[in-house]
Amino acid sequence: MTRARLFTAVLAIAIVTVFMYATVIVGDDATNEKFIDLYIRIAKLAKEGVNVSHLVEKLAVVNDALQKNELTSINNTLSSLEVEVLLLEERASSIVFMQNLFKILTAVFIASIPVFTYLFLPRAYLYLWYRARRRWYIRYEHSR
Amino acid sequence: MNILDEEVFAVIIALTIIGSVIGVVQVLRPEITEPFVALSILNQDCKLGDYPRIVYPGMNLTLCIYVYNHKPYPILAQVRYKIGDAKSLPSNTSPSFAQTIRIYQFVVNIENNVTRKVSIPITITSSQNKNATLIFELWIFDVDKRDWVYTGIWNSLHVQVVRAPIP
Repeated sequence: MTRARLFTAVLAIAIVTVFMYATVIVGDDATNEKFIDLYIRIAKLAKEGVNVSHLVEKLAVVNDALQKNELTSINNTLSSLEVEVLLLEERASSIVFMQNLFKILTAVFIASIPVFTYLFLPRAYLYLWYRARRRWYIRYEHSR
Repeated sequence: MNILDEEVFAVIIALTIIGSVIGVVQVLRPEITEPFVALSILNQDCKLGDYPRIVYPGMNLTLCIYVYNHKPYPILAQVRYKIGDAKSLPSNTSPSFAQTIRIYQFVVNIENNVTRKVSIPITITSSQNKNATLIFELWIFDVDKRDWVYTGIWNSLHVQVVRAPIP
C-alpha cells in the first residue's frame, strides 16, 4: 500500500515536471517563432517602402526581453505588435501608391521649372522693368 | 527693344535645367544605393582603443558591440562570440570553425546603429599562459532564405590568457 502510494506520488511528480518543462520549451520556441515571423513581415513591409520605424522600436524591445528570457512580459507586446503589423499590411499598397504618387508629382514639378522659366521669366522681367519705371517721363530734346 | 539680354537669358535657362535635373535625380533615386552592415568592437567605455590585453580564465570581460545597418530594411543581427587562435580565424566568406560561446542578438533599424555593453565570458580552462583570439562574427537573418547567414564581417581581439592570481 505504502509502496503503491510512493510510486503514484513519484509518477505524479514526474508527469508534472515533464509537463512544466515541455510547456516552458514549447512556449520559448513558439515565442521565438512568432518573433521571427513578425520580423520577416516587418522587413517585407520596409522593403516595399512602408515606414516601419515605430514597429522596429517595439520589436527591439521584444528582442531585448527575449535575450533576457523574460517571456511573460513580452507576450502582450508581441500580440499588440502583431495587430499593428496586420493593420499596416492591409494599408501597405495604398501607402506605397501615395508615396510613389507624391514622389512622381514632386519630380514633375521640379522638371517643369525650366519650362516655366523659359515661358514666364521674360514676361515677368518686362513687367517688373516697366513697373519700376512707371513714374518716368519722356523728355524731348530739340536739336537744331 | 530687347530688355532681357539673350545671353543672360540662356545662362539662366541652363542653370535652371541643371538644377532641375539634379533635383529630379535626388527625388527619384533610392535612399540607399549601396547597402551594407558594419560591426565594431569597442572598449568598456564604448570607445575605440584601450582594449584589454590580458584576461584570466573564467572572468567576464566588459566590451561594447556596435552594429550599423545601411540596408533599406531593418535587420535582425547576431554577433556570435567564439574563442580561437590564429588558425581558427574566420574569412570574409566562411565563419570560424571554433565553437560559438555566446550569441548577442540585435534589431537594427534602417540607417541606424545599436551600441550595447556586453559581458564576454572567458571560458578558457588552461592552466598555462597562452595567447587567444576573441572572435566576433556578424550574422544576419535572411528574410528570403528564412535562415541566419554569415555576412563575412568579423572582428577579433588578441589577448593573453594568464593564470588567475592567487589572492
